[in-house]
This record gives sequence, C-alpha cells and structure tokens, in this order.
Amino acid sequence: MELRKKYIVRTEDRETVATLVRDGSGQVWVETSDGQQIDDAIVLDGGRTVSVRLDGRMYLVDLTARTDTALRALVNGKGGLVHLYDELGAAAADVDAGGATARELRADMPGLVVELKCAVGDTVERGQPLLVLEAMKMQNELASPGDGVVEEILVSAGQSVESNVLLVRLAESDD
Amino acid sequence: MSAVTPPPFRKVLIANRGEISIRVQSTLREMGIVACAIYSEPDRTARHTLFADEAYPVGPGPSSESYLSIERVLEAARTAKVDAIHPGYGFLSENAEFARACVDAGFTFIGPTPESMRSMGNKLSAREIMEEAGVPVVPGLTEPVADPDRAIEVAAGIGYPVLLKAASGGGGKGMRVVQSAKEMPSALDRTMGEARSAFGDPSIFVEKFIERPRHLEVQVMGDTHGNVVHLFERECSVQRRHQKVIEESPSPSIDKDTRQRLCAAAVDAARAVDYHGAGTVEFIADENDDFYFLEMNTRLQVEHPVTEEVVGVDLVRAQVEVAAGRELPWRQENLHQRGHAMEFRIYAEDPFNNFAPSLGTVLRLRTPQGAGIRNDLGIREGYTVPLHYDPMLSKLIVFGEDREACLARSRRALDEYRLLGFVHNVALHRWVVQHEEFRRGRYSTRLLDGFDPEELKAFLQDDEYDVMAAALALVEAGVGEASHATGSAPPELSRWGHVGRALMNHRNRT
Repeated sequence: MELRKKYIVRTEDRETVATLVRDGSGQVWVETSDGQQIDDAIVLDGGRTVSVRLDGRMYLVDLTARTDTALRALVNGKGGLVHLYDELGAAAADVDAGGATARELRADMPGLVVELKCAVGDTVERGQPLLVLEAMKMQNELASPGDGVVEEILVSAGQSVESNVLLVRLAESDD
Repeated sequence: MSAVTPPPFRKVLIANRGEISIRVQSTLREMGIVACAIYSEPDRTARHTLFADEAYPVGPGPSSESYLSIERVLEAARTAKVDAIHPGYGFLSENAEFARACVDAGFTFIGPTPESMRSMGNKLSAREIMEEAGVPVVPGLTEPVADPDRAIEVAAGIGYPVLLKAASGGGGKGMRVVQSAKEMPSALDRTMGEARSAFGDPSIFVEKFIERPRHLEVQVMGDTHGNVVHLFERECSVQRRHQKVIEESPSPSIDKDTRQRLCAAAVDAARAVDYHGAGTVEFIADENDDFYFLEMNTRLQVEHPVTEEVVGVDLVRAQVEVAAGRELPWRQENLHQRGHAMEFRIYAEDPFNNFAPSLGTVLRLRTPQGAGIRNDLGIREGYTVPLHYDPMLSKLIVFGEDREACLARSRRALDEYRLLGFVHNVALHRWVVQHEEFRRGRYSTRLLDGFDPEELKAFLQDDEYDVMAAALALVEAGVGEASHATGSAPPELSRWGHVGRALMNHRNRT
C-alpha cells in the first residue's frame, strides 16, 4: 500500500507543498509541488542539514528550528523563517531535538511578545497558538508543543525575550 | 630567521580575548613559545580559552572586572610565570598605565613604550608633535575649547561644516559634525558631556570636517635599534558610525606618488615619537587626494591581516622579536606589496534593524575555504555570544592576485559563509562587494549612508521553496519515523535518512 503525506511550508507571502510518498516495502521519496520527484536526498548532522539533489543540481538545506512549527531554513544560504505544517494543518515540525519538548514552549529567536493567546489553566491541544512573537519583523504564532493544561506563563505581552527562553510550561491534563 | 634562533621568550600571556587572542596564540606556538590565555567567567568555554596552551581566570563577565583590570591581568601573569604580555587590540592595549605596570612587575610589554603611548594617546599633543615633524594635519584648533563663543569664532574661521572631537577619544566615540553656527552651542554641550562620561576628560577640539573623506592608514614598525619601516597602506573607508567594516590593501584610490608621500609621512610620524613595535598612522584624504594626520594607534590593528597577506609578513612575530630587543626582521627595501587583500569583519549585529547587537548561540558555522582564504575565527559551533563584549566575532580575509580577483573570491567566499543561530552582517558584506562604487575602488566613508536594508533581502530571498519543502518534509518524517521504529537511534543512521529515485529504480528492476 502506498502512503502519501503532504507537508506545507509557509512563509510570510507564500506556501509550498512537498509530498512524502512511502510504498509498502518501506521505500520513501519526495515529490515537489509540481509533482516532480527529487533525485535523492541525504539527511546529515542529526537532521540539521539535508543535501538535496534535484535535476542533478545540488542544494544544501540548513535547519535551525526552535519551536513547534517555526524554524529557520536556508537553501544554499538563502531563506529565513518558515512554518511547517502537515496536511491537517496541525503542527508537524519536531525538527530540532535541542528545541522544545512536548511540555515547554520556547522562543525560537529573540523577539517581542506581542500577544498571549492562552491563560494559566487553559486546556490546549498540540498545534494551538499560545502566543504571538514578533521577530525578524514578522509576527509569528507559536503553537503548543503538545496536549495539556497551561501550568505557567513566564512572559507577558510587550516583553522582549532572548532566543530559547522558556515562554509557556504545560502540565498533563487530568482527564 | 634561521631555525636555530632560540625563542625570545619562554612563555607569553595574551591580555585579550576572542579572535585576536587566537591569532596571537598561533604565532607564539610557531615560535616555540607557550601561549597563555586569560578568560572571564563566561569565556571559560570560548574558543580562545579552549585552544590555548594554558589559561587563567581574571574575573566575572563585565570587562571592567576582568579584561580591563590591570591588577587581575598581572596576577594571572604572575601565576602563569610568563616573561612577556601581549595586549592585542582594544581593552588595555593603549593604556600607558598598563604598559608601565607590566614593566614594573617585571614583564616585557609587547608594544611601544608608555611614553610613546602617552604622547599619541592624547589627540591634541599628537597633533602638535605631528605638526612639528612636518606631517600634514587637518586645519583646526590645537588647543581644547570649552567656551561656545570661542568655538563658534574658530569654526567660522575654518568654515563649516566642522567636526567636534573628544581630545581623549577613539574608535569614533565622542565625535560630532556641526553644519552651522546655529547648531554649535548645543552640539558643544553634548559632545563635551559625552567626552566627560566616556573618557573622564571633557576637552574637545574643533577641526575642518571633510565631506567625503577616505580613511587611509599606514602600518609602521620600529625596533629599539633605531630602525623604522612602513608596510604600506590600508584603505578603511567602508565604515558604519565611524567603525570600520571592510578594509583592503593596497588602497585602490591613490596613485604611486600619493602612496609614497603617505608612507613617508607615516615613518616621520613614528620617528617623531621614537616608536618601536607595531603601530598604525591614520590619515583622512579629501577629494583632491590631500591627506591629513588623524591619529596614531599604538598597537596591532584589527585589520593587520590585509597587510600580512599583501606584504607576506607575520606582524605578531615581528612584534615579539622587537619586544625582546631584537632587530626588525626586514629592511624597507625588501618590503613590497604583492596582490590584493580584503578583510570583512563579521559582527553579531542586525543590518535589518539599525545594526542592533544580536545575541545567540552559534548553531552552525561553515566558513569558506580554499586558496587565498583566511578565517581569523573567534567563535565555534555551540558557543553562546556573551553580551559583555565587542560584537565582532571573526574576520574573513581574502587574498587575490589583483583587486579584480580578490573581489571575485570575496564574493564567492561570502556566498559560502554559513553562520546560523542569530542575525549577523554577512549579508551586508555581500551587498557591499556588488556595490558599483565599491567595485570601482573610489568610495568614501559615506558609502554605507546609501545602505537600504530592503536591498539586503535580495541576498536572503530564497527561490528554492520546492527544495526547502522537500528537505523539511524528509527531516520531519525521517526523524519521527526513525525514533518511532527504533527508539532512540540517531536519525542519520536510519534507513529513512537516504531516499529518492535511485532507490525506487532499484526496486522497479527487481
């Protein structure tokens, strides 16, 4: 059986889709938005770098993700902040092992907390926006890293935060 | 130098941090000298500490309690039992009191005498000495001024615009341009206030402001045997708020005759203060190529590598030799310029946000390599940039057989430069090297006035979203599936790590 899963990369002004295809024997390949297959790709450095070959051309993709959906991705040194979702619109990225765990929402880069979208005691779902962080002149919704109850909010609107600062802590829900 | 020459010192302490500490360590090691670093608490894991032969703590993060503490630096020198102290640049490098304290404590100070430092440290006395030595100086006052009416009178005599400058200033601090007499009283007030708070000395002087100046400087070196040589000029006109960003040698904007006069003036300046060690005589040049003495820096400069590349020398090595009382390793007639070099200072500053300092952890560092490329690195992957110090992290130095080749190589090297984790100024360098005025080689210190952050976006704009999406999808799925299937196996070992048509074709054939 063939499994197809779409991944959506969203930036300020555009959206691109890649489809991951996996057949019954476990072979995996990737199709771009226009249906073209990439020649091949190799994941390096524990998922921080990917070498992609497309029509013979070489691309080095560097990822420096910090939160659930937001990450910095550069292709041959160009790019910036993007958001990665799966086709259900849920938070998909879990790219950086050094980043957020399921119980902690951290700032992916230095920025200004513009708005809080949750309160202590709220029951939240994975992928639900918890706060808005302005960084790189973009307003970024930071999504909940997991299901749970908001246990603690360590920042307030208008506050500047540094990269990797803990913003929201979740507790397991009691149900 | 023959191989049998014994090292002039057994052990040297470098009273500095970051890339310059590492730069000096390299030469010391090549000379067979034990290189001792110092470090503040947050710098225990900094690159310069990790790579030193020996390292000694000098106190907490703030510079005033560590790198700027004469007492603590000397204490480290005593603990390490060094013979000599190299000050690097910045910090205590131009502090005559420190040089004196080193000598009094029984250490050789690798630099000029405290007397030369003192006479060049004060801009007014430096100006007087230069005028006496016949070195051209910018028209203006040779005495400090405090009375607004007197300053207005002098400024009217020179003609506006004029520059107000702290007498004890440096590095672009405490300077202000005044366009008209009307602005003078308040400008004078503010400049003197700043001078007092930054340098503890409110005296300033008034001089002619040159509208489109170029910043030229000459590397000089003297020894204790009366030899003084110059190692030609550097053009340092790419500046932002009076701070250098890019330097090159030779200067592309002067002819042979001007070069000769400039270098001769620099040697005269060095002789006038009986200079020994490495020093730099700074000039500004106007649109007619007339040049005027600005100041003398009595230390190694940040941009010394461009001279090293073009002249083919090791300035730190010569500094150490001269400090030990040996003769300069070269004579003037043996020094020549060959090829072209540029230096790009890598700052942790955000060019999109008015160059605000940016902080963060170095997540990825892949510097360009290959012939003609030199990286004087002050950082490493995993290192968190501390907020206490200068935002300059590293320097990229590029050599080419001529300016054209150097430009092409610089462009290549900057395109390849990967520093991820925080915003920095590499994109700004990429903008400059394609700038028409810069490429032509005749540009003033106002080059970056025309800088528009919007233009930088072109250097970061990604058109390869398909590739990016493919890579991200892969990492997402690969990491997730691998850890699900095999527990904690590193993703790069998982069979999901390598995918593509090649595998599919294989499958289709079987």
